[in-house]
Amino acid sequence: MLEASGLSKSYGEVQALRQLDLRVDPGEIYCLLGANGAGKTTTLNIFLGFVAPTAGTARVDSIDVVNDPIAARRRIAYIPETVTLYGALTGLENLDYFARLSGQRHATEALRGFLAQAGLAASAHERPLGTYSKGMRQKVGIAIAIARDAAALLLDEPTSGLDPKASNEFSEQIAAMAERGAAILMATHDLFRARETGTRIGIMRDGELRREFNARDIGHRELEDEYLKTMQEG
Amino acid sequence: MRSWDLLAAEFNLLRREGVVAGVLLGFMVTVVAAGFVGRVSIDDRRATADAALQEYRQLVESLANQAAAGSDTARSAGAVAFSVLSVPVVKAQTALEALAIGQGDLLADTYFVTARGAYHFLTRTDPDNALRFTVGSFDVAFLVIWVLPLLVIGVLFDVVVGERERGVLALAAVAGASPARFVWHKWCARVLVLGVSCWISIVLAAAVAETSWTATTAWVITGWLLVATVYLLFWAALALWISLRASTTESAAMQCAGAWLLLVVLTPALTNVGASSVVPPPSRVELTAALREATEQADKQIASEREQWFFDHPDIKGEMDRQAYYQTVARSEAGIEQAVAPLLERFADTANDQRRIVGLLKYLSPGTLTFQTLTGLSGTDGRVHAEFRAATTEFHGRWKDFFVTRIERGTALEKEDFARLPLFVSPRLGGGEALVAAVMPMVALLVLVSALLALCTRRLGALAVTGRDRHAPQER
Repeated sequence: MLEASGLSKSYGEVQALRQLDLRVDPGEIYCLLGANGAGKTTTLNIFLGFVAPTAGTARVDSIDVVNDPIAARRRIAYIPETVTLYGALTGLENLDYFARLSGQRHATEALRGFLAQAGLAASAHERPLGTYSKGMRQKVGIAIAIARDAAALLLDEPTSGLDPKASNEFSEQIAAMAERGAAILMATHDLFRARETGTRIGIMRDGELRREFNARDIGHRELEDEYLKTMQEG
Repeated sequence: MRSWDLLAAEFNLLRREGVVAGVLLGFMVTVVAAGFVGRVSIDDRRATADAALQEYRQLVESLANQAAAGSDTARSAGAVAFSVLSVPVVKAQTALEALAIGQGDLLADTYFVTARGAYHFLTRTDPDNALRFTVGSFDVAFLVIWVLPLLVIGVLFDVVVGERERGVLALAAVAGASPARFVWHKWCARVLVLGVSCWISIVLAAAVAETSWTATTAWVITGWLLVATVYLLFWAALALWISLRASTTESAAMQCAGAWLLLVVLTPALTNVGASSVVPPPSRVELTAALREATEQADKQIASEREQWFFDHPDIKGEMDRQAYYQTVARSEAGIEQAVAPLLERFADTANDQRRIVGLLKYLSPGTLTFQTLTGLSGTDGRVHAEFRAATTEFHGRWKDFFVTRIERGTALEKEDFARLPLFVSPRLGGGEALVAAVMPMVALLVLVSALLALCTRRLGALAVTGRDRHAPQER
């Protein structure tokens, strides 16, 4: 589970994150919406231990990311906006490379299994990643996350640039990971995808979490209205 | 992940990136080709010099026989000294000179010495040229100085910023790998591949270029490998530093290209301009005019005496008169030499001063520093040429004395005299001294490399693994 309490981050005069309280339980997909600079990526970066908070705490599976970043990272998988990885290596080799970086060694069949779970066709496993579409590369990112068997998954605008079909497939894979018990926090601009995939949705502006909804309690039109309302607020 | 696994993964990655493997292979082939070109060039020069020496020996043998047969021309010291004989003086071959031909086009390695003034053989070369780094031959030194940095930059400029953009650094960090350790291993693996490629290229080029392998050759090639390695390390450290600071790969590439342009092209060119400006060489026109004037003056002074030979026809009268004629020629030559000596001295001083200035300014550019060191190791730098020229001047003195003494005494040459002609022995050039001379520049470059790597280590300690946070300061 992911938990932020009174989380703040400032860069000099700039307040990137203000008193954020957030909780993502196992099996839950929390979608963070907001314009560029709203604080979504800062939130993810704090959970990932890439930046230290100025105030407050962030916990992964009850482990403070500042006090024990290594233990916290062991419980996290991450999919960045762009999963370019190594174009000269095949999907299978990329997966093996990052699994080894995590200290894991999997048999080839197991690696194929992870790629298959991520929705990547078997015919693509042995092809260089340079020949993959963005959607296929994102699937390799999912496979890396699956191989890690992490308790929490953080995603930073993972569907940006994907066509609707690929985006839909991606959502299905994320939902499958949540069903397996992962706590998922996803920063996105895609209102439709957030509504379709998420279990909860938060709208951020100027480093603050301004609104929060249960995805099943809000329709697409209402979400859009709430989003625009938040963007127009002072 | 263990260190070896990280290195092995990177080796595999480089192997799979066909472009890198292709470029490295291309570099190796080009370096070997440059070694071959160097050998052809040196062989060509050597063949020309050997032919000249052969011709000289045959001429001496023929003159000795003619002198024994009583030929007036062969027995006349003046005729032989001023009209017939010129001796080729050839710079001794140095180990691996084919790898750094240097400025053989400007700094002569063969002089044709006669009993006339030194101006006669010195002005056949260009003493007014500074040690122009930018005027290089297509040789291995040129490829190491100019092309190797581009190769290093190409392989390393994105070692941090590229991995960040590809999302690899973030994934590696999340995977539990220390980003700093991850980057260091990538850097080390790439530097190792570059270094080994560079060493193999140089050794192969040396094998193609060198004809006689001695202990000195082994030392010199060891020196070459060390110098090339330090130079490579400098560029590798600089590329890492730039990659750590840059916010995008495009910016890193531009900064690396700028550094190459500044340190390999502009600074050496400015060093050359600086040396030429601070110590401008005397004008060649001035030298030509001075030579004409001195010749005219000498001719004028001696004109009345020469009238009896219709100025330059000693053959008209008898043997005694021939001796008297050449005594006037010797006096005339001495007069011309005396008149132009200060100007030639100025040329020599200029060359020395420029060499001193370049010697100081070379520390501004790792390229110049390395070029000077490599040409020094191969015995083709300005210092070695200055030694050769000094030895030639000393030999010229002995050669002139041999003939002028006989001309002044009116002694005819006998067959045995041709066996006593002074011999030129080239001084031992390069070798151990060059290795010692290479130490200081390389220590300076190593200090620079260490400083850059220390800065990189510090920056790697606070490495940003993702460039996505729009609030974070963009200037890294």
